[in-house]
Amino acid sequence: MSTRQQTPARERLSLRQRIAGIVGQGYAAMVIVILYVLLASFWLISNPFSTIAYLVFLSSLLVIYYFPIATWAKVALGLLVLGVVMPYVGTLNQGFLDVVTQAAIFVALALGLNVVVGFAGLLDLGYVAFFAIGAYLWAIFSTPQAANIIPSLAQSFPLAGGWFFVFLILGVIAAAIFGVLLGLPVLRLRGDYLAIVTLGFGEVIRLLANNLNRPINITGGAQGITNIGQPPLFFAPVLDTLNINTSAGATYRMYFYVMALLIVLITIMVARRLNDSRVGRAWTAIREDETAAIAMGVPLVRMKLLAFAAGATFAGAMGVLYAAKLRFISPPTFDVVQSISILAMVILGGMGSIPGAVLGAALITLLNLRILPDFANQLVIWRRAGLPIPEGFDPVQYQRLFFGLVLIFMTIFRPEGLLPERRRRAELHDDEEQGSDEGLVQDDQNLVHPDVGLKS
Amino acid sequence: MALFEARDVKKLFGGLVAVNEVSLSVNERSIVSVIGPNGAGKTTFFNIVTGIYKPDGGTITLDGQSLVGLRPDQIAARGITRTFQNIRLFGNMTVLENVLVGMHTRLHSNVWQIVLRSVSFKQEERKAVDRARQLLDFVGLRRRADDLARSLAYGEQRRLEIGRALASDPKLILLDEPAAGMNPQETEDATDLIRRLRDDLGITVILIEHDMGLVMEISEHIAVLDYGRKIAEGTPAEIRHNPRVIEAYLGQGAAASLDHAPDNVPHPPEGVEQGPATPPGV
Repeated sequence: MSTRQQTPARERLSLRQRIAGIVGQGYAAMVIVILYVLLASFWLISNPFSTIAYLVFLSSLLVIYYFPIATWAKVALGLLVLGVVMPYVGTLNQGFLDVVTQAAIFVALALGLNVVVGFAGLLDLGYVAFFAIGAYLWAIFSTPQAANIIPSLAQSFPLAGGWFFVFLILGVIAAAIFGVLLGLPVLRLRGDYLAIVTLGFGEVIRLLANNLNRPINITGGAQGITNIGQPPLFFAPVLDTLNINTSAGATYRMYFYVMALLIVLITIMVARRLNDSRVGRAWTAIREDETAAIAMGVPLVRMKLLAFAAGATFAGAMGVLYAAKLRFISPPTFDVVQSISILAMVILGGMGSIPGAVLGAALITLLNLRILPDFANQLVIWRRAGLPIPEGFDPVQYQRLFFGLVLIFMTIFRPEGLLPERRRRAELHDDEEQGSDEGLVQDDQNLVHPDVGLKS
Repeated sequence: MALFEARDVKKLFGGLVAVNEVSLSVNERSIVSVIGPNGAGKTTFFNIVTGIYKPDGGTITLDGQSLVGLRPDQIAARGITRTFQNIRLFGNMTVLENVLVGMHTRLHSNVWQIVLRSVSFKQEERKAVDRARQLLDFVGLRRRADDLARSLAYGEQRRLEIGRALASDPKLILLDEPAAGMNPQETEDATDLIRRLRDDLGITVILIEHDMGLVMEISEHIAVLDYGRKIAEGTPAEIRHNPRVIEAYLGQGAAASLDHAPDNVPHPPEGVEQGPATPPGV
């Protein structure tokens, strides 16, 4: 047996590397990215109702992400796209701004679920429950509902809008507490069993929301809660002095857009920093080999609870924002299908991958809110023009089918997701890269073991 | 006083007595081997000591403090780590990350410090990486720090397991068949590495091994298990000539051939080099 020198595993070139190979690292890349961003922006601004222009514009974020340019340039261009052009487009077409806000909400949810499923490897099928907890928390206390719970303080409810910011924090704390509560009983469970319990937890929260209108009306039951409070427009005087006259609705749209983006930025930062620390390493170790992890000193219980709690916080904060934005919530928003869609976003993007979760959530939200409805409209136009498209065929009705197909094809052809995490890619392409070497090691073991103990 | 003391440790799996009233006393800075046929309860004994199994009887102490009832991570924090018979690395983490996971109990940043990237967090992280690189140097894997653990060759994986175990600054390290599946050259390297654990780092070693050449060469003390019982205990020379051990495990021929192997002074005085000199610079 010679020393088993290995040739380095054949690296699969990532898309980023391939792009760098074509355009090079220098000014060419920068020029292409800037041109792309500017052209896409101008196209959208001159056609603010064209879905195609909108998609091309949003794709400029991917171009910024993929092309080999300096980090400061990426940040600056990202700010230009999301911080300047997008809000301006929002003044021309509010629908487009809303879609991005909605996508941002789901991005935060996907990032949170990614902590639990992707980092720590704990399959959670009831994740939307934490979103519901945040949403109901603000909904109850910013409406007269809270008076039913605490009659002695009835006159202080509904709380003023300013409390919204306090409740963003409270939503985080409440979700974390419920994360731990869910975590405690399921710690000894793995795989399928864990999935079933979390599924049950999600349903319990939804059913509580649905039925806690008797004997005391806390959640408003199936009717949900309306007229949820909104945060105050504390910057209104500034708008006045700048002579910007917009309707309250438009201002709130922009306001929630900015807040959702800020929360997403914070969640990305938190997820990245956690992952890149002893905590993240412990999570990966648990995912890889639980027994080895505990033998190396990783406290299993604490780390799993931390994963549940940390993942839940993202959803808690976004729940508060969601309730304030929509001003109406009801139990069906928080059903199992919603949990599954968030999981689908994580899988589509790539489990354990932060850019993946962002892309997966954005793509699926866009598909649901923009692409399928627009395709439906297009079909109607074509039918009127005489094309043989059957009456009553509506792609929006096939949303879930489409969803399912995407997931099936992803798991078959690209199981590591669109923007895979390095480890997952390695894990899933094991056979191609290393199969022969591992076989060799096993042979060696078989060779040596029989005469073990006889050697001198 | 002995650093590690197990007394009358017992473990039942249903009706099977896997470990039957085994006692083992290990002095500080010594190398002790546990040998015996497959299924004798050696690995089960390791699993009890590291807290993966709960014993059904007996006491285990490290530095006079009881370990029974502690969780595996608490036992690791007290200063006992191990390697595994069937290598259990975190294959999709890098070599460096594997060692950093082993350091978990020695790092103390909390979630806030991590999320806020506090100064103390950054310092701790930098120190941890430096220390991990030193340990990789010690086991000869520095150049492979950024490769995935599973891309390592078999012998390197064994060494990485030892490096990862060292990361928690253990007082006692349990090696479960550190030379299994190795060719003679690799076995020699492994022997050398185990000796350096004790000589250079002052760590006490208990090892399970089937390679009698290695066991006889390196151990100061040997315990023999058979069907869960300790059937013999003593210096390598005593074990080699113990008729019960020969019958249960070694076999007549092997015991005779071991007699021709270069003998080892049971308790080598400090500073006296034996066999090939250890490479300098460690």
